[in-house]
Amino acid sequence: MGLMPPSLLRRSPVWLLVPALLFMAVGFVIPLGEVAQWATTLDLYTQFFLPGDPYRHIMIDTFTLSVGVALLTVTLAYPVAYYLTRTRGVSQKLLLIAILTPLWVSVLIRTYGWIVVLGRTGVVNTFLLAINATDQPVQLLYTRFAVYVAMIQVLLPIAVLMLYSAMASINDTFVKAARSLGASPVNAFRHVFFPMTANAVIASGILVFVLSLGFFITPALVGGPNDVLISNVIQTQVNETMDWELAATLSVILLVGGGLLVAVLVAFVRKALQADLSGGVK
Amino acid sequence: MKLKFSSRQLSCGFIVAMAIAPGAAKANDPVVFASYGGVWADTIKEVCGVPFEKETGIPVHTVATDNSIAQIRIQQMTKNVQWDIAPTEGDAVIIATENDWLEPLDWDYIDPEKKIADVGRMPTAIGAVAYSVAIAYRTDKVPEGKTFTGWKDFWNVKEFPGPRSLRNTPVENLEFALIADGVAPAQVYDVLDTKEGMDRAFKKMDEIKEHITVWWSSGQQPPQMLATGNVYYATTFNGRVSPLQAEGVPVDISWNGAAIEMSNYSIPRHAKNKEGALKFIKFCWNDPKRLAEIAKKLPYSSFNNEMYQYLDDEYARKLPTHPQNVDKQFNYNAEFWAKNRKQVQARWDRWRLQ
Repeated sequence: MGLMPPSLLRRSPVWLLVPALLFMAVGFVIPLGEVAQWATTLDLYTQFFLPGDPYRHIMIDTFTLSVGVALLTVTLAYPVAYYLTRTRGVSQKLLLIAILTPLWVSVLIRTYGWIVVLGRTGVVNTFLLAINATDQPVQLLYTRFAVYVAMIQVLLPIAVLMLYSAMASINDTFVKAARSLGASPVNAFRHVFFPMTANAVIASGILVFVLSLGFFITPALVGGPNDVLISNVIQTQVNETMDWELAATLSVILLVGGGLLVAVLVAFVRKALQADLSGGVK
Repeated sequence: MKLKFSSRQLSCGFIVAMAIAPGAAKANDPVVFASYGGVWADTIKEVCGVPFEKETGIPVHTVATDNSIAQIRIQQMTKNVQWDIAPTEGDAVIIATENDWLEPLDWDYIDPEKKIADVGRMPTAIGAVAYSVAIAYRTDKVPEGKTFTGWKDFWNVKEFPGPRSLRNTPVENLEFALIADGVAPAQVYDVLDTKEGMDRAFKKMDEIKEHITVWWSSGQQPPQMLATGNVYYATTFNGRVSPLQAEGVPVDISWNGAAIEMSNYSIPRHAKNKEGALKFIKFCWNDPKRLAEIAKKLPYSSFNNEMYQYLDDEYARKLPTHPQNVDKQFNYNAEFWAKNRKQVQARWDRWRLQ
């Protein structure tokens, strides 16, 4: 930073973005441009929007699954993150370790773990058979249920950490002030605490959503016949049928569709929380 | 004139140069050998790679990859050819040759005595192994008193109940469907190459569709699923069955109506070490003793028929090209799929969703 006169830096700290922007440009924008070059066949786009197109069906399915995973993950992560802010010392550190350690284990191994747990001869079925809840193994593996469970487990630590870091920076005197003004615990949470975490909730939801859109190993390993996701399709087109035009077209549609969906959802949530976000401290 | 370096620096430099010199003097660029990794790559390294380096001084770097044809294409496109030897199967050879991505092989150098069977000698590829895609099934889940004989029984969910798995691809599955519908393995492509034949295959697939528990995509899935009992009947590569049996899993292979395919190796155009690659190809795949050693570790046949002299019968029996097994199967037709893959894949994707 000795290259720039200090007055310039003070005037416009946006210079600090330059290294990161360069990195993004070289490592992300340029390769994206190369892929987009393959996605210029108009016919493939029109074909995609025709009724009965299998890829559109899979794309919508992928989006629905990702939204579902994002909602469930954030809902499960919220209480955990809240609890993390309320504990101290050793129990807090232990809980953090319990949440973080799975992140360091490879996704593949975690997914295989679910095959062991949910399979016909797996932990869950052995337990159910032992307590005579059923006399045949239940089909848990190779179902949409298994895909949800495995994906949520993989993405949960990320959501917890994002929510925790936001919640930890909220001063709890606000809630106390609301209570002292006569608000019930529920109302204090709903109108004071929750809106202050709204940005983190949206951010972690978006992150989980975007990550799920790209999953293909987990659905391929624990999913059933109807759990083909768009990333599996794109992979087949790239590696086996070598139809790179189709693969690139689907990728562009995925990118644009995902971006639009996120923008719409964010605007909607912001509108819904308008009353609670405006006024007072932000 | 003052010497720039101290005498100590000079003598150190001299010793270091002596150490490097033997290597530098031979100027041995490595041969980069790409394959699908796993046990196969380890076997090749052990049986061919290490002895090759000892004998010629050329090191062999094994590289694992998930696919061949897309990689070959991108390396040619970006003019950054990383591999000296690339795996090419089936329709990959045809597509790559049409696009001029492969170097023609010097067969007078590799096999002057014509020991390798004709089917293994291609202008741009050498047949390395023959493997089969066959049904593997849990012997303890076959109903009492019944014998599992092949594709008709795979389709017969009433008499042979249980979860099943097929590969998520039209390739080979359509052929298997026709065989289950009564077509003789040798005629399968004559039938499939017609519109009626293709419709017939898809109609037969409709029957089994709801009974498929998993459509596998990775070669490691079927052995896994069979071992854990999550699936009773699955297609798999024949080489994966023996390790399961060795572990004690009650599983067996059904050669009836299986598909024999060839796994080949080629040299990409503009490969950095073409001479080294040719030497390695000759060293590994035209030496019957080595091929027999590979076959002992993994039951895949090679194309130098002298290898059978060095192979005990207990291993030979497991090979796809053993007389006991070869006539029950059909040969995968690469030309058919090179021509039709794209359209059939589109139809398959649509069919999967119905």
